[in-house]
Formats: sequence, C-alpha cells, structure tokens
Amino acid sequence: MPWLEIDGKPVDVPAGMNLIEAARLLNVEIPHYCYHAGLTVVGSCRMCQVEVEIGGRKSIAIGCNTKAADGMKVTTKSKAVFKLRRSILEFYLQHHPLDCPICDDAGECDLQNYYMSHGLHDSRVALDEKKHKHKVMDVGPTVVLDSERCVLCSRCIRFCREITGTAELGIFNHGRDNELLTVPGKQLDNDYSGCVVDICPVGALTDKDFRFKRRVWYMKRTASVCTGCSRGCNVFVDWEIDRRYKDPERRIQRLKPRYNRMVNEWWMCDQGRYSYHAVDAPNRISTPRVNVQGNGHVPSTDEVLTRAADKIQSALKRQGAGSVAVLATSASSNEDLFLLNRLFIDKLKVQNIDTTFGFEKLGKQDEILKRADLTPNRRGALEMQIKPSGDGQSGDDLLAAAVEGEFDVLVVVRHDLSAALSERDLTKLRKNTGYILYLASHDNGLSAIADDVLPLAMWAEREASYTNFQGRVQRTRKPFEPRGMALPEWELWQLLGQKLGLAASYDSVPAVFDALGATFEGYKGLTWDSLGNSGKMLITAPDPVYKKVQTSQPLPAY
Amino acid sequence: MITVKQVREVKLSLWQNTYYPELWRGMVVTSRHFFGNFGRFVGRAVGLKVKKPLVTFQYPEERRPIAPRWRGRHRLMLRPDGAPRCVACMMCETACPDKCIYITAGESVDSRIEKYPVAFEIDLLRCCFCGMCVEACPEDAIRMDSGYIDLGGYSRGEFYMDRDFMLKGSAPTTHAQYRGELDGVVVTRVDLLAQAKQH
Repeated sequence: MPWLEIDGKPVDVPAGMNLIEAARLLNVEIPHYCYHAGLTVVGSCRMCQVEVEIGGRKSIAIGCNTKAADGMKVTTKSKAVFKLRRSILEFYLQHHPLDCPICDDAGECDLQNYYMSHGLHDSRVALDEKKHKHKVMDVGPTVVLDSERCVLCSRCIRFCREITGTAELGIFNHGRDNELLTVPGKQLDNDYSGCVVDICPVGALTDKDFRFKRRVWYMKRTASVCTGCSRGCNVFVDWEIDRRYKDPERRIQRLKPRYNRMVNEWWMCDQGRYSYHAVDAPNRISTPRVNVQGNGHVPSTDEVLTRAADKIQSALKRQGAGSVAVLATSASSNEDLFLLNRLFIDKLKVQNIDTTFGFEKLGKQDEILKRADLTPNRRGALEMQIKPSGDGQSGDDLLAAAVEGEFDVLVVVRHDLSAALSERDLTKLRKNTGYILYLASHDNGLSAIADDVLPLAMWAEREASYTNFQGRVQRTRKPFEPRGMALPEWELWQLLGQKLGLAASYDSVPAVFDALGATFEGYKGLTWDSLGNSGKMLITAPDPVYKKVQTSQPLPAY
Repeated sequence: MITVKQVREVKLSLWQNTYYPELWRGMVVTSRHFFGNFGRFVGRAVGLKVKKPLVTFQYPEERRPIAPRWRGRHRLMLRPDGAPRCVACMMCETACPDKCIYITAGESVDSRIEKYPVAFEIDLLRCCFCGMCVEACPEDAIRMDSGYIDLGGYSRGEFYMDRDFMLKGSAPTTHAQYRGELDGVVVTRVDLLAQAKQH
C-alpha cells in the first residue's frame, strides 16, 4: 500500500494505482483526454502531466502512466504544471473548428471545461486559416463522426479493440492530416457502438438518436437501472419535461451508462441504450378500458378492479382454485411479484400460475454484457416462487389449457398473447374464457380483445427493484409521473387484494420491499435503504466474482 | 460608491388626514391638465395659434417620435444566400429570462450549416424586451427592430411570432397585416376591426 502526498494531502492507495486514480480518491481532478479507467493506458494526450517529487528529485510525469509509489510528493496545481497544460491545450485548439453552438457535446465537453479552467487564450490561428477535415460523417447506424472536432485521444479506437474486439476505427494519415476514420470497408456497427459517444471527451462522436434533440444543460439526471435484459446495467436517465413544445411525447432524452464495477463497468449495449423509446411510444395505454360491454365508456381503475374481484371470487366459489389462471411475467419488479405472490398464491391459493413461457422472445447473448433472457427479474420470480403448485400446469401447458378453455378467469400481465398464439387460437382463447383481465403498458392484439385492460406504469415512471441474473438486487428511481391513469403493478395487486380480503396496505415501494425482505429467504437482511446506488447481492447468491467486462478476444491497443 | 438614503416617514397633518380636501386638490390638478389640453386642441382645430404644445397624440395618424435607441420586435437575420443565419444553438432560449423563445432544431441538408431552426417562435406577450437574446446570439442571427411600436393584435395568436415572420423582419408590415398576408389577402386594421365586430 503506497503512501504518498498529493497537493500536500496524504493518501494511502492500493499498489499499482496510477496518479489520476489516486488523486480522484482525494477529489482532485487531473485533466486528461486519452486516459480512461476501463481501457489501456497510452499516454498520448499529455494533459495529465503533474509534478512528481521522489527521493528529493523533482520531475514532470504523466499522471496516467505513473504508478503511485511510496513517499511520492505530487503537485497538480503548481504554476509550471498549469503553464504546461495550457500550452498543450493550445495545441488541441489550434485547428479546432469552434462550432460549439451546433455541437451536441457543448456543456459536457472537456475541451470547453479545460479551456475555461486552463486556457482562456486567444487563438493564434485565424479562423479561415484553420485546417479542415471531414464533418458530419455517417460512420454507422448510431454514430455521427466529426473528425474536425476530434483530439485524437484514441479512446474509441481502444474501446473497439479491447472491449468489443471489432476494431472498426483507426487513426489515418500523418502530421496535421491525422484523422480519426473508420477502417476502409467497415462501419462502426457493433452491439456497443453507442459507448464510443460516452467516452469521447469532445464532440467528435455524437449519437444520432440524441442529435440536436436537447442541449445538455436542460436535462435532469436520475440514477436508474436498465430493464432491457437480465443483466440490469446501471444507467442514468437523462430527461426533460419542461420544454414540452419541442417533442411533447419525448420525456426521456437518452440513457447513459452508470459505473458499477460488478455489473456493467462503464458500458451498456445499444439495445438497452435505445430501449427508452418504449416509455414514450405512441401506443402506450393511458386509461383503463372495457372492451366487451364498453361502448366507449372509460371506466375508473376502481370500477375495473371491483368487476375483476367479483369475477375471481365467483369463479373460485363455483369451481374452486382450478378455474383461475395467472400468466405472470418476470418483467415485473420484485415488489410486483411479492404482492402477486401474496394475493394469488398465499391468499387465493391459485395453482395455475407461472412466469416462464416458451413464446417469450430471447435476445442475443454475448460474453460482454448482453443476456439472452430479456426480462430483468427472472431471478426474483424464482426466489419468490411464482410457479405452479399442486395440479397447476406450467409454462406452455398452462397457455394451451387456457386456449382449450379450462379457466373461467384469466389474468395476463404484460405478455402479448396475440404474438404468441395463432389468430385461430387467440379467437378460441377469447371464446372459451369467461373473463380476461389484462395488465399492460402498450396496446397490442390482446388489449383489443381482453374484457378489461388496466394500464401499467413503466420502469421510468415508478420506483422499483429488480434482481439480476447474478442475484444482485438493484433499484430504479422515478424521474416523472406515469402516463395518464397508469399505476405501478404492485399498487394494482394491492387494490385488487383489498377487495378480495388481502390484509396488505403498503404505502410505498420501500415498505413493500422491506416486507419482502422479511418474508423470503433470499432477500433476508436486505432493506430498501441498503440497496444504495450499486445494489446488494441476495444472501442465497454466491459471492460475486469480479470479471472484467470485455470480449474473450480483445485486440491489443497499438 | 454606495450611499445609504434614509427615508423618513411623512407625518400627515390633521387637514390631510381628513382625506376629502386632498382628494379635491388632486382632482383640480387633473382637471387643469385635461381642460387645458382640451382647450388648446379645440383652439388649434378652429385655427387659433396655440403656444403650448399639445400633450395628446392622435395615434395612429399622428405618431410620437421614437428614440433611436429603442428596440422592439425581434427580427431573424439572413445569410447572403437567403438561408437563416440562426443555427439553433439555443443560446437565446437559454438566456431568455421569460422563457418565451421556443426553438426546434433540425438537421440541415447543407452539411456546411449542419443545424438549423425548423421552428423558431417567440411569444411576445411573455417577452419583456430585455434584449438578452440579442446579447447571447453567437451568430448575430437575432436582432430587435427599431422604429416599431405598433405590436397590436386582436387575439393571443397574433402575438406568437413564427420563424418566417421574423425572417421577413424589416418589411413594413404591421402585425395584423402580416397575419392577413399569410392567407393570401392583405387585410388592413379596419377590416380586422370590422371582422372582430362581427364576431
């Protein structure tokens, strides 16, 4: 454990840590462009130079490639260091096009930040004498490249070589013609291409999806978790609803990965990154709906729940527990599944209930982040034992039985059965089942034929916790209110339960979660407050083994 | 140099406290100005020479001179080739204290321009004419016109200036006339007044 001094403050750091990271422990920022904690060190930008004194000898060294050593005295703020950085920065800005007004990175750009803290010089190169390079280059399906703005830090190149192993980008030409381009014949088209926009310290790489949508200083940021697959990458939700006139339906502007060493490090996949479009999709359901005896009447949530409770109660009374089936889903959060369990399994003793079906779409799985299981909470459903009991049928048998008309009341959560069944089977299901209650967030074939439809709030409109495939329980936060009359799923179960004699009245998500922690073995000892920003492991899950997020065939940095 | 000015409370006398005498004294001042101005106006109308100038202007036939430093309605500037100079950087929108500027940015087909305003709207009823937008603009794309004070209208919608109206800028149109021209007919104020009466 080397012990060193940074700007006069003593600090004890792990062996092998470099000076930028060591300074970070003391909340001292050493300016840098090329260094990124998740990538190899190249030491090319020279912005992170600091004064290092060791054994009475003073010298200038780059912070990224200098390991902290015992007895070092590091100065990051001396006059010499400041002058040095200022000269380096002037080189970077020498041919910079200064198009900040139209640059999406303005406001979170390191060139801007360091110019304000170090530069503040007048350009010695006149604007019309500046070297021009390619602008607005379409380098892939998600990214736009402006090589004029590039500072050639090579972070994106190293990302494509070391993390994804695809190597689409490179630096070409010599001297002042040096330019970031795609390798001839290749496009920046991999499953993680959006990450190069995150790590670009300037505005050279911008996101097509976010391009010109909002200025970054308008947006608010909420720490949350991606629900696109069972990994549960930690994300920031960048949202803005005050300037609604621009694009009134677009509340979330973008998702950015949030560092969590045990889950996703600094990265996230493109599929998750653009999954937020579903939150503001035009086919969101915003009011409860009666389809059969409807006549355009918009019922209240209470009206629908009263009818559902009636139907469930009379079916149970007439024909017993076998007449009710629940097609639940592991896309629901822990709290949803807990109240579902309390109501249908614990209280009503329904046997025909399952969360795993053959028709569920599987995604692509790779060694980096992506998981084939596209539901965020399969592990949670397993822990909470949402599965058939007694004579109950499971999975596809359950669905087949429903089509054959074995159930009087069918409760479907989120599953789009119109995509899973053929048109004939769907009509059969409709004809054979007395009452279908459908809880969903989006319109589809099933919402058109179900007796009653209740709108669900989506992940960005509510607080929730999810258990990822490793057994890590992570929480989301709520940036804004649900669309229309939509409610979180657990609230609907609780309201329905109160009509069916369930003695549950939790007033908030933390209360539900704490009750869940006290009930199920795996969640023992977990409380809402203990989840924090990076989540907690289930006690039944094995201790996490830290594995660096990268492909099995990384190419070395050159 | 900061100085402190002490304001003493004015003590009213018993005479002032009785209210009515002071009220009438005020009415006398008002009436003196009213009848004086009225007399001078009648006098000038019948051809007498009136020494003191008239206080009331017969707007809109007679207009009060506007100071050269007056800045009013906004104008968007053009490039030499006729494209709007604005690059939709939203600096004016950010600087605006009244939040009355609404810009929607879009991708231009001209890669030299890259970003341009698809929509640029100003709600004049919210605007306080502070000029911050002009100060903030890095492209000198928004200016405020001098010489126009007739920002009248018969509906709230008429005070909602869109991009094309502001690009027209210094053309001598009143607000109401411009709104009429949009529909292909030049409508004058009198016509609009007649229309308004019908409704």
